[in-house]
Amino acid sequence: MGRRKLCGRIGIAAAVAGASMALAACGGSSSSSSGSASGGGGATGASSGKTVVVADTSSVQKLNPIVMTNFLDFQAIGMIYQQLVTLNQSLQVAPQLATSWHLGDGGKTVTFALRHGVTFDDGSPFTSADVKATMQYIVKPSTGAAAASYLASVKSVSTPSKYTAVFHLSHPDSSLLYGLTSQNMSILPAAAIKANTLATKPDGTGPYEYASYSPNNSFTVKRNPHYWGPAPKISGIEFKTIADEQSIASAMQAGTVQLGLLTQPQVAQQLSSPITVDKALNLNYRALMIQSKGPLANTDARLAIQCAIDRRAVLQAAVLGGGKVVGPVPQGPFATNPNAGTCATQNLAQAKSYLAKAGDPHGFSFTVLTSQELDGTSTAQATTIQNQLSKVGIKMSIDNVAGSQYIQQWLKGKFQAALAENGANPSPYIMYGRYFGAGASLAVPAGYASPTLKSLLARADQSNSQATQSTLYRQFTNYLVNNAVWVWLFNAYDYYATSSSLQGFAPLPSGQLTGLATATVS
Amino acid sequence: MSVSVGTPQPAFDPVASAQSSRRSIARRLWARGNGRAGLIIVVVMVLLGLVSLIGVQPHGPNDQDVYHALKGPSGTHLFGTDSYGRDVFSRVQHGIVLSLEISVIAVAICTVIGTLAGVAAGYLGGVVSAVLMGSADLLFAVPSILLALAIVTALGPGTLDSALAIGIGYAPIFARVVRGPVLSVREADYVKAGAVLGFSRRRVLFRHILPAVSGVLAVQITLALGWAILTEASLSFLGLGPPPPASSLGLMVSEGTNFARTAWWNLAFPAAAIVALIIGFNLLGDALRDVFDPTSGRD
Amino acid sequence: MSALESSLPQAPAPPPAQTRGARRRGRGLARWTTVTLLRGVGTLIGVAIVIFIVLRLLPGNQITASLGVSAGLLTPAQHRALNHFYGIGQPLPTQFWHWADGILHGNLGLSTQSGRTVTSLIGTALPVTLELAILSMIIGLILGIASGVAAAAAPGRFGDWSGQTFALFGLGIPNFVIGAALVAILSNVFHYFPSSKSYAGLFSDPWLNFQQLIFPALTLGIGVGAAVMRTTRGAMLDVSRLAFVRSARGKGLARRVVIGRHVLRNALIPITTMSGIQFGYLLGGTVIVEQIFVLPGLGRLLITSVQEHDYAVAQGATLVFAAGFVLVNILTDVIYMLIDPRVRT
Repeated sequence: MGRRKLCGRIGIAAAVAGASMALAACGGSSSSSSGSASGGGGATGASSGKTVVVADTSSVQKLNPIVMTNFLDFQAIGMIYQQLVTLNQSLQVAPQLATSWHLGDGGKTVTFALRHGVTFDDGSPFTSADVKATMQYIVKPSTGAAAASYLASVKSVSTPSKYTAVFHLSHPDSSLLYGLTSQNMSILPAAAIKANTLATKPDGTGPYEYASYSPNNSFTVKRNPHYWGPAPKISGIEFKTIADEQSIASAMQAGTVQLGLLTQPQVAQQLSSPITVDKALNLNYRALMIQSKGPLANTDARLAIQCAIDRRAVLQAAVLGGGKVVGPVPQGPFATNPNAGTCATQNLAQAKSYLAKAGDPHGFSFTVLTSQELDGTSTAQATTIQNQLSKVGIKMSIDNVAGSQYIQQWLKGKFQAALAENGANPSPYIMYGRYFGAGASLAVPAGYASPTLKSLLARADQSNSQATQSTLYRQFTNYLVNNAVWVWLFNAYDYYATSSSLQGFAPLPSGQLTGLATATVS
Repeated sequence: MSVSVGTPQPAFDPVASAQSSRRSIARRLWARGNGRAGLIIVVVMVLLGLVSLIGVQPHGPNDQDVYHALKGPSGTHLFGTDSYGRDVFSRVQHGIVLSLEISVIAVAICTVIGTLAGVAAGYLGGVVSAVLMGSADLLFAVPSILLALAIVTALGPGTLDSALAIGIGYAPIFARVVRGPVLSVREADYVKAGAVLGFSRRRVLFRHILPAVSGVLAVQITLALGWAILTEASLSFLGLGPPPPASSLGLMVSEGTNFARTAWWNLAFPAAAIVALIIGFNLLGDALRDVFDPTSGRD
Repeated sequence: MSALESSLPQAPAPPPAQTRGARRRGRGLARWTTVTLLRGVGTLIGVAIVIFIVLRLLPGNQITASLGVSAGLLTPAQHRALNHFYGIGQPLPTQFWHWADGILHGNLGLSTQSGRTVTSLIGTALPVTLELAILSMIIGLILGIASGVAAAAAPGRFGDWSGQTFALFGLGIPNFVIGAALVAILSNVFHYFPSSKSYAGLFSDPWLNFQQLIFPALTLGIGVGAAVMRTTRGAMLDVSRLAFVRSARGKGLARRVVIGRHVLRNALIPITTMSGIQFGYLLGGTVIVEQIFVLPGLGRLLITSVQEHDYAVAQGATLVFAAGFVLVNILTDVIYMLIDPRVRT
């Protein structure tokens, strides 16, 4: 997901850059179209409709939803595929291909009732066999899906009937449902898995079906005539790559693009009527990750950094203020209050007293790892923070490296501190289990281990009560902030510019574009 | 004079011609329109950049003032400010220094490698020549941008790495340009005579061959500087130059395209600096060629 | 990289002229053909080895290139399976042999990122780049020869002055600056951005195709034109000093006839050489221009595949570029022989 940000910022270099920085969890969400129980055959009476062009600086990279990582892939391929469950406007789990679910055996089984009358684009009916085949495909090592981590607690999937799928868990896992909302958990037809055609021919249950793909240029979907939900009014959508956001803005003014996906506030601001601009908070969060080693092993030293940073100024420098300062969990039912905790706003006096407590009254030195190639705002963040820290005597040097280099060092924990753009999720367990949980796969880059954190995460995840979860997650995030394990900075806005001919489109907090399925174009 | 064996002078003795004209090169350059224009442009641009090293610049190139971002040219900000509120004039100054630094190192690299290869190929001939010139062909056949891309990605972005990437791409041209004159000098009677008289290879090389190619080299170095500046700008435009916050001119153009509508100064001034540098060195190179090789005089 | 022109490498040596009878001539041509082909193949093999090694020097591997930091979420079993899939950890000679053996059987491999065959990816990208390069070349030749002839016809006059100025700026302005400026002006002033539509093939929608390619071609063509202009002007001035041109003029032939029939024709040799060299660099220049104008050509394919560590695609694309370069060099030699009767075998 870092990719799009970067595309925007540094134009060409962006389109060139390869690896995505943010974890796949960020795309973890899906279409909503209020997909409740009232399915019904929607194919009838669809007006012929027109097509819309969606422009982005990135291009679609992978057609297989299980392994895609690029944000535009989530948006474009997300028009074709659906998941068992999805996230609604308030980022809570809602039905999609499963109409309902219930927990059994003390939370150790999850039984999904599947929607009837759903077909894949190839015409085959959707049944529990597809669910089982999909889950098996995701955890198969040779698939190489990072999303397999969502299913870590799942021992097996059984299919007592054609429209019932049961997940058997090793322990109660409340985060599983959030994991299943990820686009990387899209339900695939068992036949396509067997035929190994996923990478070349998308085949899902969503409102649109695959039409054509020109790598590095455009990706097109057309209306799915057999869609189970309300028939989409727009007959086709083309996802078109345009090198820089300025050109997207121009193309919108020229009328060749109906929906422009922008990240740069200065470009979004200049668009005027009849083009309207909506903004929605991106699910990625920016943080200063810290390895608890050397001078930074000292909690007081880390707190001094936290107190010396003015997060609002960082936000201003990075994206001209287009975003929000956030705590560890930015959005959703368990969101953290960003104005609570130690030094929620800059406090230089307190920073100095922490320095004194740490035994370094005159400050210390450390190096921050950044990659402008991966996150086009990281230089602005780094130089602003550098400036702020210097006021209390902390010398931060900036080590800006190429994207691939950053990823290597990040994975091996070879940094003192790193500016990161990580994927957020409404479930704090999905966000942080991988960093601070028991057996966390990213414990090395996380750079901080604590039994307290492990236990809080495990207890919250295994609880069935939302109230208990809330309390435990609050304790968890308080611990993170009050010990300055990392320093959480901000979430940026994504901008959705729509031309006057496109009506009824609303962006979703997940960044999904499924709102297009219910929009019209004149 | 190096011709001490009493052999008849060749019709065009590059050695003699190079030496006799050395004193008046500057004057002859200045006498030519393109030479004068090139000198003036290069000197002005270089000075503009270098004075920033001794502190003659309106602002620090990386001083941010995010609340005064994207302001147009004014008294305090001659070239306006960029999206971080940094002074574009100071950044252009810094960009010129960076560009020159990388280009000079790059040209040094390709001059040394290319000249050695060219002299070796021309003087030794045979297998050495075949191998060296084959490698040159090979380097030509790989798109130079790809070569640079690979080198920069492998080594990580930085001044030296960019210079290396650029230098390697240009070395084959030096090899080819140098090889020609070396061949003709080798065949010249006075060099053959020297060999007969038992002069060491080194003596022949330093007394006869290197002076003979010095004129060609001077021309080539000047043109290579212009080319290196162009390549450096292209690389940093693609995001493969020195990483930010270094104000590489190509990167400034690339970022400037995002503000072309609202803040044209972010695009126009860095672009103008690149163009001025390249044109300056190209004019100078052309003029030098005219001076060194009167037979190519076309004006 | 049009400024390279100003220091162009020497033209490839023409085949030695044979004068003693047709059989000798035939043998000379055969020998020339063999040598040329061998050199071309040798260059391609060298390029293949170089690109193969260079790609594997890049930090990271296909897994981190594909997944980014999410690669850290993979279990050891997943890592093992992916290593096997990508062939990571196999000895380099084995990997190279696999690739080379595939090529010999007409199989350039599979894109590990998109799952498509390299042949099909190149098959869709190459026509875009070829069309762009040819269109640029046409623009460059028209601009260059016209302004060069105009300049040489009246040295020191206005035509000469404006031609020289054009050449100066054409060589001095990097193509990415021209491209970026063109995009900015077209889109901001004229609200015109044909590339916001999906790329149209030459045969599926010729008019849209032309609209999409004309500005990128202009961007590249200006540099080519500048180089060709200088060569044309220089060559024409050289030729017009020769005795036969003077005598033609002395015979009272019309200026236009002298320039057209005698001077230009003889100046064609250096112009051809220069055009060949320019076409080679043009292929490289397409890399940048395709980025700016978002054309789905070979250059863009190359850059993305290098970044994504999609080795087979990057190797294939490089080989095609190199083959284009070699081919153009050979063609230049052939045209050279056709034009110049003295080197005709």
